[in-house]
Amino acid sequence: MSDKLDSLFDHVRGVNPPAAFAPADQVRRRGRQRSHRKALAAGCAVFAVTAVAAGVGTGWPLRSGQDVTPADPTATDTATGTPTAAPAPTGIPAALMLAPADLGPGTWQEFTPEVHEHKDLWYWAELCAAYGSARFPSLAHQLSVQTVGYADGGQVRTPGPEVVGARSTVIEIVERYAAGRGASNLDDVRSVIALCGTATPPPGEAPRRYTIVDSDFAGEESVLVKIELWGFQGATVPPDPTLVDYAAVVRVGDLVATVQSSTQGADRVRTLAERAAARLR
Amino acid sequence: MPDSESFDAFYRATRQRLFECAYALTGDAAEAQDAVHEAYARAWQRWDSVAGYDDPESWVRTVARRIAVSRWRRARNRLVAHRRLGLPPSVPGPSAERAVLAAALARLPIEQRTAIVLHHLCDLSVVDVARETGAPVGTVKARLARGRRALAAQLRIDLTEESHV
Repeated sequence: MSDKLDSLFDHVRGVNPPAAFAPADQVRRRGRQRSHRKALAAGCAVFAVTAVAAGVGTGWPLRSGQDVTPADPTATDTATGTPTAAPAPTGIPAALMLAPADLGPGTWQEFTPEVHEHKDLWYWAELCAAYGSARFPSLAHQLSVQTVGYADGGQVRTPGPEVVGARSTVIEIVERYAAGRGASNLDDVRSVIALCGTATPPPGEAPRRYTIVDSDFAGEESVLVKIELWGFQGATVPPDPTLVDYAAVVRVGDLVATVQSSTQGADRVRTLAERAAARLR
Repeated sequence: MPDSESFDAFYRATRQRLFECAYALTGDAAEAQDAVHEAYARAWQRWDSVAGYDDPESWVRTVARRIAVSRWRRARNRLVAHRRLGLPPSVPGPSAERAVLAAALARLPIEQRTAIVLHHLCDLSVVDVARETGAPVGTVKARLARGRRALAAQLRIDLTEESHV
């Protein structure tokens, strides 16, 4: 790989960090402190579960990324004796996510896909060069995001995203929006594809094309997006795309699921979207 | 109790390489170094397992890369917010060549940048890049081709004669 790019990277090789590396024993201490904090967090969660079981909790999320059954809407405020309204759920329970049973035949193992935890890292964001969350109004009302990935066969290491030799992978992103805002997120998906799905690529980048090829086949509304990516062959772009992939977005209430499969094309993604919608109900 | 001697030797032997990769991905030396420290701390938490992997460095590099990119994305969002407010962003002061390369890399989509850095700086083969990023080999080849093309345009250099992707 002795080319000009490698020569340019020589300027990075051997660059000094801004401070001396921490001694190894300090790094190990940092690791032990992480373990200690995790243990404390787990202990707090156990305490919270115990407290709820004893009737003193609020029935609200106990652990990051995991929701519990929303509070009983007929609960009574013990201080005033008046009924209290149940808060709307904000988390995404594991039961709402696709599970191996939804994926069909295969030896499905869970792995960690590249996460999209921040709303500014919305799945469709990188489609638009001038992306700004302000252009897509639903994003200001996104409450939470959860992701899951499954690999059929192969070797999965944790933490991800390492999957070696898988026959197929499935990735799902589920987003929860504030009450009444889920529908506007589907509007934003359609908008980003209309605005940037066929935009002329910047100089030096090969074209890509995102097209909505089907709608309303699952959930309360849904879209199936065909993703075509071209790669350079020498200095030219071939007429046919190098890669063709599909993603489906399906909405049930204020929950929006995005699913992708690495194999079997549009029909597979459509089926996965139907199963994702069934989970969201 | 994990074997601290093997961990310490591993840390000393690999930390500079990992720092270079994280730095190339983020363009921020301080963030890159902290991400590398954090990744090694996580490796020590499960060193009994990680030490047994075929390639422990790959594991730590993946963790460092994800930490660094995640922080870089958040920093980028903060920078955009700063620009909206009209405040000048802080500018790091690397060498001219490094600054030019960092600026060009920063304009690549993250998937292309990751593939380019792993392949050209960390010296991973295309197959190893695919394994480390969980992407098919064909996808990695496409990302490399597009990334090289974009870098060539930005840096005004001719890379068309090179076709190992």
